[in-house]
Amino acid sequence: MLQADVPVYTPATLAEARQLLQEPGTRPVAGGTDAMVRFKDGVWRPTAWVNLLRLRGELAYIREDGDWLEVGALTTFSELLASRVVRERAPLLAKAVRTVGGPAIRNMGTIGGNIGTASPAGDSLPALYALDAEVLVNGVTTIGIAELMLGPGRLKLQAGDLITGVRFRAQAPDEVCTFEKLGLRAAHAISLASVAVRLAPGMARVALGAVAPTVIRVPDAEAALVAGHAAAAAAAAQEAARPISDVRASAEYRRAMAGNLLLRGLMRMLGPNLVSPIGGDPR
Amino acid sequence: MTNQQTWIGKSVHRVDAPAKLKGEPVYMTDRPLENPCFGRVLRSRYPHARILRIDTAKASALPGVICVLTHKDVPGLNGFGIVIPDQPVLCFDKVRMMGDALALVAAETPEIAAAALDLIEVDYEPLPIVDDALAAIMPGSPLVHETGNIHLRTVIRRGEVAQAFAEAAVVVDHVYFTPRQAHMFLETEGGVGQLMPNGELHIWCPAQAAFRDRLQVARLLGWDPERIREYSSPSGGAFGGKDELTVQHYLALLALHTGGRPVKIHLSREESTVAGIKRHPFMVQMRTAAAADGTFLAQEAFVVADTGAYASLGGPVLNLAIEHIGGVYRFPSLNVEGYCVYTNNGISGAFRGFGVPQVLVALESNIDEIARRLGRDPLDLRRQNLIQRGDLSAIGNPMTTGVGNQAVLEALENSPTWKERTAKKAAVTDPWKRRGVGIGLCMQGLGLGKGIPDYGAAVIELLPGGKFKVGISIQEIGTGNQTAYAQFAAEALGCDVADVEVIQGDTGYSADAGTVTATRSVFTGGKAIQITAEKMVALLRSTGAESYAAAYAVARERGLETKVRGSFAWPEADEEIPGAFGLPHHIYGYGAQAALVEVDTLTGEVQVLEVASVVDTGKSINPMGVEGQSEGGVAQGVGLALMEDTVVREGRFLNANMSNYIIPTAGDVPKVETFIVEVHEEKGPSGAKGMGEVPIVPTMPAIFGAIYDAVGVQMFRAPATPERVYMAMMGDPSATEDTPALRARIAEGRRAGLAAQLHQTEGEGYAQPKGPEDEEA
Repeated sequence: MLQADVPVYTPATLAEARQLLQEPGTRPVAGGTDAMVRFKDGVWRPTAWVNLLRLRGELAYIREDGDWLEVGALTTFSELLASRVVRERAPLLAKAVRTVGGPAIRNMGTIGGNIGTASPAGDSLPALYALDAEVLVNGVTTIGIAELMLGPGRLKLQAGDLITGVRFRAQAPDEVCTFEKLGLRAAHAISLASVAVRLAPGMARVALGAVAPTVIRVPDAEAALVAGHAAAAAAAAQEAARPISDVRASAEYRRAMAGNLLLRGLMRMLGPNLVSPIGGDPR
Repeated sequence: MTNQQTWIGKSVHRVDAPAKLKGEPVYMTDRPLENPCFGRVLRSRYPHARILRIDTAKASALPGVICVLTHKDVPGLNGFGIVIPDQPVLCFDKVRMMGDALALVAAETPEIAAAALDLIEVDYEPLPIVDDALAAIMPGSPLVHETGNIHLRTVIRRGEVAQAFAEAAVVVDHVYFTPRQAHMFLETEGGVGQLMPNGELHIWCPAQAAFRDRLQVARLLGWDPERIREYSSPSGGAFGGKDELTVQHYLALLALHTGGRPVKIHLSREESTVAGIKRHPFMVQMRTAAAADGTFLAQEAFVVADTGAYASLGGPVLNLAIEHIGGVYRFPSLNVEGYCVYTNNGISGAFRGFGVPQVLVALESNIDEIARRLGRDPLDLRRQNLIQRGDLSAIGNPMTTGVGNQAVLEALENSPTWKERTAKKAAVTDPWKRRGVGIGLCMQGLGLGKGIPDYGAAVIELLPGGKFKVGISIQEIGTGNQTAYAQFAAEALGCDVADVEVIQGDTGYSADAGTVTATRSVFTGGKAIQITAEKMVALLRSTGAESYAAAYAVARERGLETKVRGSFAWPEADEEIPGAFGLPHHIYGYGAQAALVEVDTLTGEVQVLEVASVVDTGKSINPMGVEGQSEGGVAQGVGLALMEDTVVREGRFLNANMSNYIIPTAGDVPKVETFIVEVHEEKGPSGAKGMGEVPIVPTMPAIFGAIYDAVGVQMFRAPATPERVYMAMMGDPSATEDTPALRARIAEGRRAGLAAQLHQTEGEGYAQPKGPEDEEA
């Protein structure tokens, strides 16, 4: 079958899209920044593409609902970055989104697509885990993001289900947060390891990216941070990581980085003097 | 050269910039075509296998397929290669790498051509592979070519080496590894071939050696070269990767079977990575001796270069590396032994720097360690050992042309990056980061070298209105030589740059001036244009006219030829270096760099913050162009030092596209400050030498030195990825590859290499063993 022979349907409504996606072997495509690469490499060979472009009117939005924020699945990373609401009320997500690809990728890539691809290295996902995000499915039901993610590229969804948005509580004004990403260069880099951290009095959230089959939360690290033990938190992060070795990095290095990125994040948030020990001076 | 010059030495905007900036289809792979068809190449499924059967019946029967060709359809020599034709155009008995070509398809659409490739049936019998260059030398290794895996062995010895090491106060001995860097030009290999109504074959293909390409294509077709015309300029980047035939041979074969329709091939990034030329990965074991007062006494090295499945320019790359094994320093004694070997790891060939960056990182890193052990300033120790004009280089070449090492060192010493290094290092922002400054000095042989024919030529045509057309085969591959040529012509003819049109790379118009390689294009083109311009000036005088516009009218009236030609031969060294084909060079470019880096001690990430790049150009023709080349060289050098490697495991490519093959982004490229040093070269055009390769050469050692200065660890394997730097900082034993086991393998490799060479080369001719004095090796 030629690539050009794969039909592309462009439904005008969510209902129509869901009906098309009932067909086994079909795949939704939004910005296409993951889909086109996987298609070209033969990793994804759907029987048909369901192009969601015409649903943007319905599914590209950023809404405030009291303490909650809701983001439509077709909202692009550039739109998230441009949003004052996101920058002020979900700064962790803004920090994470800023590290996605480069401007051209951020103009096309969507948050729904980042969730749907379900890569452990998806750069918005650790932030969403740390925000205890709920994913909207078919515009009606919600599912916790950790429950949704089953493994690399695997989601707890039925045929015909479509991710339509994601919602989470806005961050409190008194909390601090950071997203630390390690790639092989300054931009356009796939994460070797990443960590999203939120801290407030009595509260800590730690989510690790790219060091396990899915993004993971680290409850032991969170407990250690609440108790004020940075080194113990880093050790817990390393303990929790279950990384792989590939052409980009070894598992051993990724595991070490799960802890060190957490330390680096803590130092960046709190100042280096508040965090001790800081991971050692090699000299 | 005291005359006031109008164009030479002035920063002139590039003549090719407006069209490129506007996105006009200036590149040959962008040309609109009438009624085109599309070619594809069937590549191997195995890195090493016997071919049992190729069946094209099903592919030929697919609707929309115009032709399917195999080795049976190669009418002439089924082989190509710049030095020896050991690479099949289309494989027939076996495949030796994943990029090997087995069949060609032309079809109505690219999709049909791709589908046809899937329908070609090939039965293979997989063979054991050799994927390690040192292992390839050993007895019992699988043979890539039946004649043996050693393509070239070169040995140079000078002076009393053993005595020097015995008397040395400091001996530094390490093993270094450099990566299979990919050129990653923006425009992948591609082009168009068409059989013209007049019976000529025309090929539009970005390239670096139009006339040699034409000869190679003529050989495989069994044609008269005059029936072939190659248009080869401009190219969307080359860096050496388009020096060999890229797709011209495929275009030529297909064009003979498409009924006069143009056939286009344009490689995907993945196919380009798998099938295209790479930088030779090197292993360099280097032992350097110095006296207590810092004088360098001896240099010993064992070098293995992985050329992959075919030779291409592997021999000359090895020899240029060996020529530069002592860098810009005096070494009274030398013992260097190098191997260029076949493996099943793709194919390596020409790449900016041509072997020199691979050995310079070892030399400069060893020198840094000598400085530390003697408690010396690294720049001062280098100054003490610089070659002076009239000295012999490490390989024994009398340095009789402009020697710029002193001048570049002084400029480096005065650069802010070096001069203010203490303050710059202290300005670190985050407490978990450390800063350091390192330096590297280099020279780079220009031109093709002793005994290799190296000529320049140009044509200049007088046009109506007193304008000119300059024709030269040397291509514009992005370096700015088109602008430099217009400057040379305008200066010599006394006209405006805007009145000169430069036609490059067209075998039907441009004079054969050889390749755009070896940092030879400014020297060759400049000299050829100046010599040819003298004839144009003579033509003007002969007409008695006051202006070129008037001269044109007179010439036409009298029936005079308005097109003039000139040519010259490159100067070369008087004496060859025995046993080292192509050595020595006669004229060298010089460079020096200082790098300021910041290392994240938590992750091993290295950010290069700034680089001071000093280049001795001889006379700079277009200083703005020199700055561009300097910045580009540093960017590519940062990639070589920190990021880039085509990872090949068991002959298969693991990172063939640009999401996994990492090159620097704008965020990774440092601030580059360029300092131009002009050490006049009497033999060059207006005192110029050229500089295109120089700025990539010192970057890797400068960065490695800066990493050491920052965190106290020496990197021995490039690229210095965050993981490698971090593991080295943690003292991970696996980060040290220089184990007794490796030393034992090196010793075994030396013995095996000598034995194989004595056994193998009789009558093969490319390089002969040196004789009885080799026996102690």
